[in-house]
Order: sequence, then C-alpha cells, then structure tokens
Amino acid sequence: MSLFTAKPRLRRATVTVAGLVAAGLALSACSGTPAEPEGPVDLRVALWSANEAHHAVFNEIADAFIAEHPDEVSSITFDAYPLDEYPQALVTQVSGGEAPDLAWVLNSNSREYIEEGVLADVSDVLEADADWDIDDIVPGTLDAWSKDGGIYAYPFSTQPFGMYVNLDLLAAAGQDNPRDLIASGNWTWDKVTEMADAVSKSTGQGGVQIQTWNIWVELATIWDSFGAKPWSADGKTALFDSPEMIEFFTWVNQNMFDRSAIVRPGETFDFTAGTAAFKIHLLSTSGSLDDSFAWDFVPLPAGPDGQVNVMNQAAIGVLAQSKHPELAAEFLDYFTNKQNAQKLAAFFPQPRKSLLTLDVISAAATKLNDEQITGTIIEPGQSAVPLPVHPHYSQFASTVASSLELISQPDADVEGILHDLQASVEQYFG
Amino acid sequence: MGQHAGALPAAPRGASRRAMARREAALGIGMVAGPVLGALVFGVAPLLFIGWYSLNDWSPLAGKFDFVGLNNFVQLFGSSTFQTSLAVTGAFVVGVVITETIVALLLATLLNRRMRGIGLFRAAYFAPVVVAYVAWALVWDYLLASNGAVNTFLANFGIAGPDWLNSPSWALFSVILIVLFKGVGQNMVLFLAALQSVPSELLEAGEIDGASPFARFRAITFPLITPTVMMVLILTTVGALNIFVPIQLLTHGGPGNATNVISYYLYEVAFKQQEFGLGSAIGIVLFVIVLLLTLGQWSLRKRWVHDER
Repeated sequence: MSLFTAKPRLRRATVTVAGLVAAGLALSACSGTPAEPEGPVDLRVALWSANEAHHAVFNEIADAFIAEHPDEVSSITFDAYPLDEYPQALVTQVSGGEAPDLAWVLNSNSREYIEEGVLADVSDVLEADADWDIDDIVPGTLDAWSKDGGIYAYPFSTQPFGMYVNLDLLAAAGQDNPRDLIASGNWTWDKVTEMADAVSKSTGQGGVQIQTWNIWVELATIWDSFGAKPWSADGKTALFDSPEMIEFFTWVNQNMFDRSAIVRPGETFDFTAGTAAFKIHLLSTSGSLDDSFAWDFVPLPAGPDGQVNVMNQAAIGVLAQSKHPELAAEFLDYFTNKQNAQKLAAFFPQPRKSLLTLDVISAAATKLNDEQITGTIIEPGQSAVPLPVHPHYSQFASTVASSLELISQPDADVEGILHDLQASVEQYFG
Repeated sequence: MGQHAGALPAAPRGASRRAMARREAALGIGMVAGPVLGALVFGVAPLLFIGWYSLNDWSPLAGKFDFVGLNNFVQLFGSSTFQTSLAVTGAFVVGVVITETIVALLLATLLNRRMRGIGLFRAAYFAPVVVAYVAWALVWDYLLASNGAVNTFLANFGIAGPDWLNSPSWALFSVILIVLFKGVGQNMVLFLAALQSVPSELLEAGEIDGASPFARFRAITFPLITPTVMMVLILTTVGALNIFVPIQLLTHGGPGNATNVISYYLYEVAFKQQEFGLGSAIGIVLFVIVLLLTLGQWSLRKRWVHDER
C-alpha cells in the first residue's frame, strides 16, 4: 500500500508528519540571530595558525582580558583552520549561523570583506584608546583595512617579501654571491634568471621556485618591478592584457621553457628541501630552514621598471555577524594594543614604529642575522607597497589561476591567453 | 494459520473493531515514522533547500539573501566555464565508466579460478579501494610529477614523458587513470561474486558442445551477470559524476579548465567565489543529470539485463 492508496486518515497523518518536519526545518533555517544572552559569554576567534607557541601567547592575552572582564566574558577560544581552506571554513561557519566573533583575514580578501560589510568598523574603539596609540602605527599600513575613515581590521602581521637564496647551489654552479651583486648594483631579475638557469643546467636542481599559481597575487613581487599591474588603482579597469603584463608573462614563459630558470608547475624542486636556488617569501620561512645548506635572505631584485618592495599583510577583525560585536571589538582593541602587540611581535612583525626595531624582529626571526633583518625587513618595510586587492577578488581569482596555468605550458600563446582572461574577468570591474 | 475445532470466538463488536484498527494504524505510522522522517530530514529537505537557494543570490559572509528567480540558471548556462565543465564531466564519466567496467570485468574473469595464491592477487587488486583517497592522490602526485618516477622510468627507454597532471592534453587522462586504479578493485569484487554464481553445469554443457571460451563467456556468462553489470554501470556513473577529492588534491580543476568537472566547479563557485545561490543551481543541474542518467539506465534494463526481459 502506497501513501496514495492509503486510507484518508493514514494519508492525512503521514502528510501532517511530513509537513511538521518541513516546517520545523524551515523555521530553524529562517530563525534569526538569537538575543544577546545575559551573563558572561564565550568569544571565538577563527585563525589559520595551529602553532602551539602562537596559541600560548594568544591565550595569555585572552586570559588577562577575561580577568579584567569577568562579568562579560567567560572564555575566549582560538579555532585554527588550515590556511588553504581558511576562507571556505569561514564561509561555511557564517552560512551555518555559527559566525566566529573575530577572524584573521587574508590580505587578498581585505577589500571585498570591507566592501561587502563582512567586517565591522572598529575605529571608534581603537581611536579612543590611548593604550592602543594609533599614532604609533606605520603610515600606509592600515590603508588596505580602512574605508571612509573607518578601520575594519588590524594587520597584525605586516612584513615585506624577500628573496631566499641557496648559496651552496650557486657556488656549485660557479655563480656570484647575491650580496656582491647587491653591492655592485647588479641585483636584477635578468641576473637572477641567468644564475638560476646555470644552477639548473649544472646541478640538475631547480632555479626560481614560485610558491603556487593559486596565490597568483604574490606574483606582484615580480611583476611590480616590470611596471605591470593587474588592475587600475581604483579597481575599475582590469589590466591583465596590458603591454606590461604581456611582457612579464612572456618573460615567465621563456624562463620556464626556453631556459630552465623558473621551476615549472609539476616539478618537485623545493627551496626548503635544498633543491631550488631561489624563492620569494616572508621571514617565517627562515624558521623551517636548517644548516643542511648555506642560505641568505636578501631584498627583491630589480626589474625593467626598477626595484619595488612588496609587503604582505594578515589582519584580525570583528565579524559584522558576530553575536557579541561590541565585546569582540573591545577584545580586538586589547589584543592588539601597544603592550600586547609587543607580545605578538615575538612571531609577527607589527605595523608599529615602536616595534620595527632590530631587537624586536630578531626575537621573531631567530635564524636571521642583523644584516638580513635590517636590509630585507626593516629598510624595505618603510617603502613597501601592498599586494593588489580587489572587491571581487574571490569571484575571479580561480579564473586568473586557470589562465596562468595555461601560460605555464610550453609554446603557450601568452598574449592570446591574457586577452581571453581580460575578456572573462571584465564583468567584475567597472 | 490453524483454527481451533469447535465454536469460533465471538466476532468483536463494531466499536472494538474500530479501536483495533486505530491501534494498528497508530502502530503502522509509528513504525514507518522513523524511516520517513529520516528520508525527509536527510534526503528530501536538503534537496528542497538547495532548490530554494538556487533561486536566490546568497552570499553568507555579506549576509545577503535576495530572491532572483531563475537568474542563477540563466547565468550558469551562459557561462563558458560551465559549458566547458559539462564537456569535461562528460569525457571524464565516459572514460571512467568504460575503463573501470571493462578492466574490472577482465580482472574478475582472470581471477575467477581456483588456484594456489589467487587470494593474494585478488587482495592486491582490491587493496587500493581501502587506501585513503588523500594518500592515494599524494602518491600519484609524486609518481606523475614531470620529474617523478613515471617519467624517470620512461626516460630509461628514451621516452620523454609529458607533465602528466599539468598538461592540458594529459591531465584528464591522468586523473581517469588514478580513479580507475583506485576504484577498479571494488567493481572487480562485484563481478567476481557474479561470476561465481554462474552455474558451472551450463558452462560445462557449452564446453561439451564445443563452444570456445569466448563463446561461452558471450553466450552464457555475460548474459547471466548482466544484473551486476547494470549495477556497476549505475554506481560507477554516479560515483564519476560526483568525483571531487582527486581533482581537489591533484589539479584544482586545471590546468586551465582541463579537469574542471561539474562537482569541482560547484565547490569553486560556492566556497571559493562565495556564491552559494549559483553553487546551489549547479547542484540542481548535477542532481538532474545524475537522475536522468540513472533513470535512463534503469529504463533500458529490459532490453539487455537477464531476468528483466
């Protein structure tokens, strides 16, 4: 007997049960944010570091905040998610009605999170707090996190990119020491690719290792020195097929296939393992290097358009969908005030004048020497430009990554691919 | 049911009969309520929600949820990436279903014999099925690297192997191969069970009549295992349409869109582009494709499946 041939009473009962279930599900899905509970609450912070030493410092600051606010906050939890999946984890939580109160935000997501109202404006809280000391912030470092006078996040990690060099591989290939080239003014991309090609040909190892095509905005560390930009400063015009971009990616393709200077996608050469000669990255990479090979950390080389220092940022902000936005803003203010920023500086270079010192950064990067810290972190940090950001970045990021994969094929029609890319993403500009 | 000899018990009065009927109905409803609730909550309700989401422009992070009617579907079918994704999905499903079914059947036929140590071979072919997909993909990532083990092996014979996973021409083929080796053991076991249920007297009769091994397979064995073949075809098709892990781990849909199958494209749109409404529309399209293919295979069974004609 099916539902449709059942007796009317049975059919009604079954339909009623189904209706109640559907109504219950609909109500649960449509229910709004619950009322602010009375009494102390739990604050939750989403981040991508699971490092125990990091969490020890975070918890120390959080415990001190709880001690000062016992009637308002009972606990502060730091939930770590893998960096690769971090934005997706954040979306999933928010869509499930479980938005964290605060979250770390990637540089690339800054503009869209601000424009779309994902982050709450915390400027009133930060600017009113003398302990936070907004005058101590390095000019320009809050630009990517501000809009119309509001401040939407604090870039707790602000540092320029540098070039890691495997000195043993260079020596084995009979190449110059980069420090000598810097001193003679010959530290250029032409020279770097020449050396990388020589390393590849004479040692069988890799040349310049590009981290991953998926984080393509980090190519700004190279294309900026070619005078190339992916879009205009106001974000309204895509420039993926500009002459500078075509020149840059043609250079990339040639150095992958006409020479062996840039590690091709699919090759397993890795700087950390000692099998690639060069890699652009942040000071944090130094922590994973040991004495198995001699290495150096030097400023970015100059390109046809000169030498450009580029900085990476990661920030912490309050989510607009937090159930306790005011408390979360207070915690953000406390977590990043001048005193606690000094504790954070043990791991992350802070955008504070008082903390951009050799002593403070030496503590965060114990494997870097004074020359590397001063010449590659502190001095370039004064003039570094941020990575490109755009309000619709998430919507076209994978389209760009797909096109760049095609550019990194032998005999790629670089110009054609970039024209196609431009046409595909233009809808997100203007 | 036996009956007692002698007088029958008095027939229950009308009111008692109704009470008994109510109790039976209540018991019946109680017994089916669990499965019905389970199906509604975990099957039908999510599908209905996805259908509703697909009609909305939903960006969870921004807290945006606006009704847009069929706009998501219009946008989807006008997207060249989606059209490419459909074509890639078609090629992938055809590649996986054909190779996995044929290879599994060949392996099962080869291993369907009583001989010493045969269990070892069966276990060897089945082993990849129980290996975690992540581990499987990582191993293949290294094997198929342009300077990996496969190309190093080929170089010994003077063959310059391609960049398997990063070449637009080879990436989809490579993923099909990886999925084939991972899943063929499961289908092989299903075929093995079916082959062992084929009555040996029929095969012996064929042999006595002078039929060749191939003729016996074609005329006796294959017709008798067609129910299993149909099950394998349906399961492999559905599995191939929903493939995600190896794409996510090995190619991210690339290079270009060479391996951008529809299930991965759904993930990209929903979770990376954060367009849940559009992602839900892709989910609905994927559901309809799976449904149509499964119904198509099911409706065609009478033409070729044993005991269904």
